[in-house]
Amino acid sequence: MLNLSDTKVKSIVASDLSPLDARNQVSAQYTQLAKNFANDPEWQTNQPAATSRLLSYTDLLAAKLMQAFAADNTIADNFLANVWPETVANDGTHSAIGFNLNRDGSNQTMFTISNPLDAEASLVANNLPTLLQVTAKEEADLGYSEQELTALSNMIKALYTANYTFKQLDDTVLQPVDQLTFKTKYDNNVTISSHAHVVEAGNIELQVALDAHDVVTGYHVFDDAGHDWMDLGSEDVGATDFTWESTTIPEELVGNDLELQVSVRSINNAPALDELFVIASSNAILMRQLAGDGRYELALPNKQSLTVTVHPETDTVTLHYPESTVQIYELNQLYPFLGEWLKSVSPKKPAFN
Amino acid sequence: MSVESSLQYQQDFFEHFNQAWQDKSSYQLYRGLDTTADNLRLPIEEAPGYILAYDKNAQQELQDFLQTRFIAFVREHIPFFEVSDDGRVFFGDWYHRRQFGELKPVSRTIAQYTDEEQAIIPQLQAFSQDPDNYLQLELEAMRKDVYRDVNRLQNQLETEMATQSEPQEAANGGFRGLLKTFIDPSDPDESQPSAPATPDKTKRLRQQFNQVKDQADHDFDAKKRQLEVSAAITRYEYQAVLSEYSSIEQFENVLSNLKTDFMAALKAEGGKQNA
Repeated sequence: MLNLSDTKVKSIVASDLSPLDARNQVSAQYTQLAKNFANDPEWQTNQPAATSRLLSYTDLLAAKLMQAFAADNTIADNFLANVWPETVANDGTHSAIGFNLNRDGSNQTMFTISNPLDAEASLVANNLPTLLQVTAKEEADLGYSEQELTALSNMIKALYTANYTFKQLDDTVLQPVDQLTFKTKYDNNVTISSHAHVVEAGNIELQVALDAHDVVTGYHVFDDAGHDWMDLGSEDVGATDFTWESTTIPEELVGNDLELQVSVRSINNAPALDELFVIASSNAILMRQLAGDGRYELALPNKQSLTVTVHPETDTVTLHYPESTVQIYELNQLYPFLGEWLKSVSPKKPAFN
Repeated sequence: MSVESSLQYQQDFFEHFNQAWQDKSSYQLYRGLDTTADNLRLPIEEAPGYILAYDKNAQQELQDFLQTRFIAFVREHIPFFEVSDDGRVFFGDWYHRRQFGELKPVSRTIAQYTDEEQAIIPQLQAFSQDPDNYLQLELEAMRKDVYRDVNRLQNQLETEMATQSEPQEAANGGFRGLLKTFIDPSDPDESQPSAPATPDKTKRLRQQFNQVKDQADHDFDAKKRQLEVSAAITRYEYQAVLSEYSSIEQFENVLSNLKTDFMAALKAEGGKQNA
C-alpha cells in the first residue's frame, strides 16, 4: 500500500514524469522503503507485507509509465486507449508489468517489464513481431495493424529512454539496431597446434603463438595414440603465446610426438562476417574493414553506416547505427538484407513464439 | 656514326637527362629512358642502370622519384584502385579486397606476380559473361568436382545391384533411395540403401560409397562458403569497374594503355616542374 501522506510519493503522483524519471523516482522511493523494512526486526520476515508493498510500487510505476505514454504524441491515443498494464508481484523481490492490448474484451499480452523497480530490469516479448516473421518469404501476419505497430514501436522506444531493454535478439524486431549484441550460430574457434618429440622422461615445453585478441577456450596435449596428457603439466597464457610445461613426463612417452592443440577464438575467424559480406555484396552494399581489429562498416544507400564489431572475449557481435532509436523492424523495411543476415546467423531455435 | 658524333650524341643525351633531373621533369626523364632502351635494344627496366652506371643508390633514387608521380597518376586514373605509398595496388577498399598487383614505375605498368593477382582479370571476364549466375555456375562446377568419386561409386554400385535378383531390388527400394541421395546431395540422408543379405562386394561398395559421400558432403559445405565469398569479391570488383567503364574489355584497354595515357598526361602538363 502506498503512503499517500509521504511528500515524495505525493510529488511522484502529482508530477508529469518522463519514463526515465518515473523509473528512477519510484525505484528510489521503493528501494529506500524496502531497506527500512528489511532492517526492522518486526517486519523483516513478513513476506506477504513485502510482496504487497512491492506490488503497490509496481502499480505506481505502471500508472506513471502509462501517464508518460499518454503525454507522448508519437503513441496514438486510440491505440493507448486499449492498452492496460497488468502488474504482479510473486514475492518481496520479483515483480512485473505486463502490457496488455484489449481486443474486443479479450487480452493479448504484448510484452512485459520484468522486475521494473530493479536495476537489472529487462523487457521480455510476449507477442511482438519476430525476425522469423518479418523475414518470412510469404508475408506473415504480425498480429498488429500498421498503425498499431507504429504506436507499439514508439512505446518501446519510450521505454528504452528509461533504459528498459530487451536482452535477446530473438525477442522481437522492435528493438534498436544500435548496440544490438548477440551470439551467432557459428563455432568461431580455430585450433592451432605445435609438436615436440619426447626424447627423455622429465621436462618438456610446448608453445604456440597467439594473435592479439585471441581468446584461449581450451587445449589438449595428445600423444601418438591420441591420449590426452594435459593434466601432466600446467599452462601459461601470455600476450603473444600459449605455453604448456610439464616436469613429469613418464618413460612410456619417450619416442612419442606430443601435440599441443590450443583452441582459440580469433578476431580473424568470423564466419558470420563472411556471411554478411556475401549478403551485402549481392545487395550492392559496400562492406569495409575499419581500422582497429574486428570492426566492419556497411555503407548504406541512405548515407548512414551500419558497423559491426566482433568480440572474441564474449563470442558476440555488436551492431552500431548512428540513429540510436531506429529499430530492426524499421531498418529491415529499408534494407531487407539486414533481417536476412540476422536470421541466417542467429542461433537456430526450435520454435518461435 | 663516327666516334665524334657518337660522343656528341652521348654528351647531348646526358646533358638532356641531367637537365630533366634538375627540372624534376618526369616526362623528360621517361623520354631519356625510352630513347636509351630503344637505341640499345635494352628492356626498359635496364635503362636506368645503364644511364646511372649501375649505381644501386642512384637507380633507387630515380625509381623513387618516378614512383611518386606514377602512384599519383594511377590513383587518379583508375579511381577504384587503392595504391599504397610503396606502390602496391589494391582493388577497392572493401573487406576481403585483393591485391591487384604492384606498380613498376620504370616500365609504367602494373606487374602481377602471384597466381591470385593473375586470376583477377579472368575471373572478371567470367563474371561479366553472366553476372547473375556466376556463383551458381561455380557452385555447380565445384559440386561436380567434389562428387566425382561419389558418382563413380554410385555407378559401380548400380551395376552391381542390377546383377542381383529382381525381387530383392524391388523389396528394399534402396536403389531408388540411392538415386535420390545422389541427385540431391544437400538433402539429409533419410534413405540410405539398406538391403538385407547382399553379397560382400555390394556391401563393401556401399560402405565405401557412404564414406566417400560423407566426405564429399563435408567438403562441399566447406568450399561453398569460400566460393560465395570469392564470388562476392568478384562482384564488388565488377561493380567498381562498371561504375567507371562500359565493360571489362574497356577496363583491360585502360590497363594496357596505362603507359601511353601516363605519358600523354605528363606531356600535357608540359615542362612544368614535377611533371
